[in-house]
Amino acid sequence: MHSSAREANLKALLSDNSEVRSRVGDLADVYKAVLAEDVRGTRLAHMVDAVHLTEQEPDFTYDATRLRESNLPNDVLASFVHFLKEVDQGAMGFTDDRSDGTTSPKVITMNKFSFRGVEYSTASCRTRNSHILFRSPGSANPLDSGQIIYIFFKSQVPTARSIAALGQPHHPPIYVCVQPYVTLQTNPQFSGMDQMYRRFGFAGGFLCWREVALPVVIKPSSIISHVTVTPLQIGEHQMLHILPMDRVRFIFV
Amino acid sequence: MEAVWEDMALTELPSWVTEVPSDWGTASRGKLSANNWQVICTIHLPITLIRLWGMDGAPEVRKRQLENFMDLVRAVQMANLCSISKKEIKLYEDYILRYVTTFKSLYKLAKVKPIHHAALHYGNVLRGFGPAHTHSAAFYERYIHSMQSKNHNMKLGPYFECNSGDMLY
Repeated sequence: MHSSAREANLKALLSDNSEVRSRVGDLADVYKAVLAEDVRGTRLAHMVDAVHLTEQEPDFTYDATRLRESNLPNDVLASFVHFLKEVDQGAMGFTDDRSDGTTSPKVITMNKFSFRGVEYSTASCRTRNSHILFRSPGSANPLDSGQIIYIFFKSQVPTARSIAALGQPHHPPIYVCVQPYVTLQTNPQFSGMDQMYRRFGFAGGFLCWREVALPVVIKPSSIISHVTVTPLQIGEHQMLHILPMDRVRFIFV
Repeated sequence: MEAVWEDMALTELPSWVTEVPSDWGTASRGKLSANNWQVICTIHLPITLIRLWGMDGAPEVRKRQLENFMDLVRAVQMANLCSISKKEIKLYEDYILRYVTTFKSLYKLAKVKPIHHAALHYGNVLRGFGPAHTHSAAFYERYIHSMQSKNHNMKLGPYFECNSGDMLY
């Protein structure tokens, strides 16, 4: 406990005091890296979001015996292609894996995975773990909420770019398809209702319509946390209340 | 209470959050654990109370009670952050001070208890010892629970070996 308290004090000093930080120079970075080592497996490094400093590969696990080959529905495939072309820039070289230049809908799916020690699953597998808060690259909102409907990866076809990327992830890149809940903020008429919750920041959560937008594809690293979801009727309107459950520092207002 | 129970029944919690007994707050249910109270106060009550007391047409006293309660919720959330900075400790202190001050003016008959006093000093504890998980009682509580689940004869004496093979002293 003594060393833990000293660590916490030093960390706060380094973070708050720019003079100290400038005096210690590179030592601060080395200290951060040492601090982030999850040697005891306590997941503290993940909890404080420092894992990227020491681990090249995020802590990602899934049950390889439960993988299934299936075809993505058209709307999910369209989102996937959009994601690869606009966001991921076709990095692994399988945006156009068919002879006619289109993307094959064939993927390997899984029901759940564990990321940073937290389990996420599809709505059909375990609904409770399927509601998430996430960063959506193309979205106007800094954070969106939604429900995971697919978790998948493409069967790898070695390409020059994928070979160049070898040594990075040991598993194929995993993609998560989420159906975002429609936020109330788009409609000024109802933003006051939403504000009723939002003014309490991370403690109050926010409201969404009880409907979903077009599916979006994200990487697991875009997931912020689980959320609780409560269907509410406010006046005559059917809504969903969303309350982030973890990493609330991201939701400060 | 009915409104809270109704919303609770509809709320989908992640699997790692312990569900609260559906009849909490009744005499038949009895005492709740600290974890149960935390889930109720930081998840279930905000969902329902903001809907009921945060609306434009809600009575003024209810609005003030809601503000007061949400100060407590925010203070609890801040105090339980996994890593914490001086700025966040200051926020904790602001919330808890406002909570205790407003609590005294809102609930004239309620007594200020030692826990309120202790909460006002918890900012200093965070400043001195870091985030709550470094010194919280959760580990010790689990250990006590584990000890309480062992059979014993209420007699002090030399250690003995119980059925599970564990050594008890």
